[in-house]
Amino acid sequence: MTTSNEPISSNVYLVDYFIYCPLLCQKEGQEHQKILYYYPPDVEFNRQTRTVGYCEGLVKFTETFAFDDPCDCVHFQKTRLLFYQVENDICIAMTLHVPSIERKKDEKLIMEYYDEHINDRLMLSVLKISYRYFALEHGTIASLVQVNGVDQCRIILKKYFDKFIAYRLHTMILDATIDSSYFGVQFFQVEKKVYLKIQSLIRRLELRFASLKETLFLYRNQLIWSGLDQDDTRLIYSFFRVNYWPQLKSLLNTSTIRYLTVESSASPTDALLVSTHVTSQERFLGDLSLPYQIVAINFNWFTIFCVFHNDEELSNMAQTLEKIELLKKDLDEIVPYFEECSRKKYPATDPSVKNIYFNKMNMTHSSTMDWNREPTNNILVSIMNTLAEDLQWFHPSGNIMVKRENDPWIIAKRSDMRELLIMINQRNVNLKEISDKIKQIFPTQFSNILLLE
Amino acid sequence: MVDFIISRKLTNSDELISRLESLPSYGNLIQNTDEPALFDDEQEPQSGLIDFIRRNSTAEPSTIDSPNIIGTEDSIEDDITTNETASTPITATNSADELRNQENDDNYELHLNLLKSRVKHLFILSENGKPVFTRYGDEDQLVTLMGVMQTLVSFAEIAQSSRLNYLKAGPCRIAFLHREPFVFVLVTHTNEHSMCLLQQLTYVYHQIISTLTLSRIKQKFNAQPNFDIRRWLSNAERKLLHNIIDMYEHDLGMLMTSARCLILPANIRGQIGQTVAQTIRGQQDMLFAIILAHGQLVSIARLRNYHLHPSDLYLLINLVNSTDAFKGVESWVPVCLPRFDPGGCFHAHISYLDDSCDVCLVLLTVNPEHFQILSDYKQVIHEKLRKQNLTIQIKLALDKTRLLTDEIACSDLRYFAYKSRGLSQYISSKLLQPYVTNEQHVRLFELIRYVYGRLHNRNHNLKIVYLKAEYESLLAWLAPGFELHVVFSPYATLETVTQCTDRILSYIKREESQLFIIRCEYF
Repeated sequence: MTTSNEPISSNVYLVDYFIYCPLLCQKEGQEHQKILYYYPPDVEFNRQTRTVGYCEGLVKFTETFAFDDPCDCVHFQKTRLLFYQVENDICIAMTLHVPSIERKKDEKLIMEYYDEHINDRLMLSVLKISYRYFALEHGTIASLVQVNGVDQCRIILKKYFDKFIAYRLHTMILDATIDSSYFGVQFFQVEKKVYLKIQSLIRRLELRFASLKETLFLYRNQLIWSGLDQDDTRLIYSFFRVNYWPQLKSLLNTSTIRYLTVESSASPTDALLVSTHVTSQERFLGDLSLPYQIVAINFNWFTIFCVFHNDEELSNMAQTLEKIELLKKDLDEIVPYFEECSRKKYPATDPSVKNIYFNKMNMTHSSTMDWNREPTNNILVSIMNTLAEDLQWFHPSGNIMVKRENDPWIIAKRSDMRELLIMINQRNVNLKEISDKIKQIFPTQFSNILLLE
Repeated sequence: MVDFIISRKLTNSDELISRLESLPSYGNLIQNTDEPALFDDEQEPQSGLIDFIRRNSTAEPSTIDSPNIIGTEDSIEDDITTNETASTPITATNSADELRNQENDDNYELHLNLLKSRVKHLFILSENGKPVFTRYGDEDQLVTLMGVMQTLVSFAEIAQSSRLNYLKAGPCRIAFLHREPFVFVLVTHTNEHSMCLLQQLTYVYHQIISTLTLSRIKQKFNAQPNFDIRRWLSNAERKLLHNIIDMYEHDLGMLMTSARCLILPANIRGQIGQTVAQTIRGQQDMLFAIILAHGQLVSIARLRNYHLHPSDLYLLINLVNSTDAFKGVESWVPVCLPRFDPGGCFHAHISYLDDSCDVCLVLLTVNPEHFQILSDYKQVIHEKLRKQNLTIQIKLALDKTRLLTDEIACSDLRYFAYKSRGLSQYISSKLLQPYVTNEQHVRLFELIRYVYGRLHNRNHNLKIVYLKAEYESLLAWLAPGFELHVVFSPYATLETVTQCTDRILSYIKREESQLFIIRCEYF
């Protein structure tokens, strides 16, 4: 019997990543035409075609049984295959290598594979977001094919994904946690008065531009306001957390207005570009059919994403700059409040109680887990991942509590659209004390959450 | 309010574990009994073990043995051939052929719909994609589908030198098991743990080789790779396959690999065991003598040093339960018990000890010539048990339907199953409302299997799993000496859960001697 504490001789890694569209193959013998993108590029054509053919076969085969959900994970002894149908007839798939250990048994070296060390739910979230980030910058693959032709589309995909895989995907796979998998939104709660002030400054900004559609308003890495629909909010927010925030937080915050753009083909450390001139980037939102122009404004710890219908107004640089500079006064006014907020000491949360909360209804997500500092123990993380996956099938509500010998309790709870995972690491504490502590924690963190029994 | 509920729950959960462990009965139960185990569920199968025993047995000179074995194996083949000719349809005329084509098209449509229905499908095919068996429908209609399955499995093996284990589509699973020369495929719509999927497929694999014997199947496929194994599968064998799949859904013992015993006063069980053991003592070819009543174990006597694996016992129980023919006459059947020796064959003497066919005696020998000897034993055992009124006692115990839940006296308790890990035996209460319908029974056991899968995840080493689901709450507890699954009403508080669990454990401690076979009898 082995446990995850033992050294793993090979960890999980990306074997391949490919995009295909079965409709592109007209004749037998030209199957390779289905393939729009294939990583690694040095895999020979035949092998690519075979792999893609196998995926198609699997999907067709599962369709025989009329399951409610499409087949998305395939467990092989040595690899894991994950699918995601991104658009009609277009599929993205990736294969991961299952962690393995070489050990001696009866004088023979055998390789043991640890299937359960890859969590399907986490990896599917990585696969899905990899497409969403692409579509945010380029729109749908189908429209790329339609507008530019298949060959040009292949070039665009290659240009994008080669960099994406090299700079982002590998780390995303290794660093995936329950928290990262939700792609939820963390909200910054402000007083009513401040909230109204923010609303009014946003309205005034919107009135200055005829083509300004919606805005998102963030303080540090938390959202205060978004006029976009939930899905787009979530996407832009998570894109911000991944591409803007890591560098933004290390930049000195100045009292001048700056404009941010992200070069996603650059390495993460060089991705963020800061300018004092108005800069905008093309982004695809909503049904992904039309590009919008996004201006990302940064001032102090505020970031405002302005979504423009087109760049006509923006082309008048001087005027735009002037209009946006007007914001400065409004923002200056609310800065003290936020500084006050960040100075304020929150009642220290109990370090022995960790929780993760996600509400699917409004994408609210909060967490007190610190995955970097918490090499708690791989087994506990693995248990939490498994339970988080199980929660999907608790309908409409359910609650599971598990315990290992000498380890904390882990509780996973679902109440309709809300999910809550709690880990309580307390030993030798009497029951009264634990329950008191939890009573303290809940009003500060979950006072506004309804969890039905 | 809400936080209060949650905190109470958490408090109780911690309380739960500490209280469970401090239960008066806990300490007693974790100590394994000193008696050598009746069963050994860790036991590795040993190929050639039966041959070895046969060679070493002093009863017969080994030289005559081998030809005799071949002789019997031939006779099985003969049996099967007769069956097969009987079931081969008479060649039809041309017009009938056309009619059949029409029917075939309709059938095909029918089968496509059947595959889409939300039932647990199980398919068996040969390595080269020939259909062997389907749980629902007619495998002849599924030739294409089985071909696809075969391709999916072999592609993974050839192109990636890997193995296709299972795939997920939402909560649905399709699991694959390749065991030369077969491929087994299971389709399920509930979020079943991969371990349970594999277990079900392995039972089916064992079932198929228990009647046909692995060596014989392999030999045939080596000589004739395109052989249609269905020619060897009579209706009786198909029934066994159907029943083993059904049994898995209805019997937790197969999941927990533990045998279920008939509740019987210890002295009576002792007398029965001794009677059987004394009768057979000295016989070196005989390995096991088992008495079954309605699928429950009454007594088991065995040759020293040889263990029966619980999963093999389930194959025997399935054989007995599925074969009405045993009720008329004493029967002599070759049977392979794969966890004992996948390469060899036992010969089982199966007969009933009473007129209403409730009590069944199974004698297992390695010597195919010993029908008469075993038949004589049966007569003696039958007489002795009758004279001592022991058969009556077994039947009385059968009639006394023990609920067990009422002896615990807890209104929120609905069901429990307790496995003694040392004895590899389990006991469970009777399923009452709302689990009396087949649908609810299967649903509850699916839920227990889910909890079981969590509890037994080999990386997680969990000790306690408490699930509060929509219609019930389940507690699963894995302790060094036992494993306990308890089902409560969804309204049960954790106080009730601990109290009730305590009562269950003390009840079992108190009644242990009649709930389990503690002492093993040797020939």
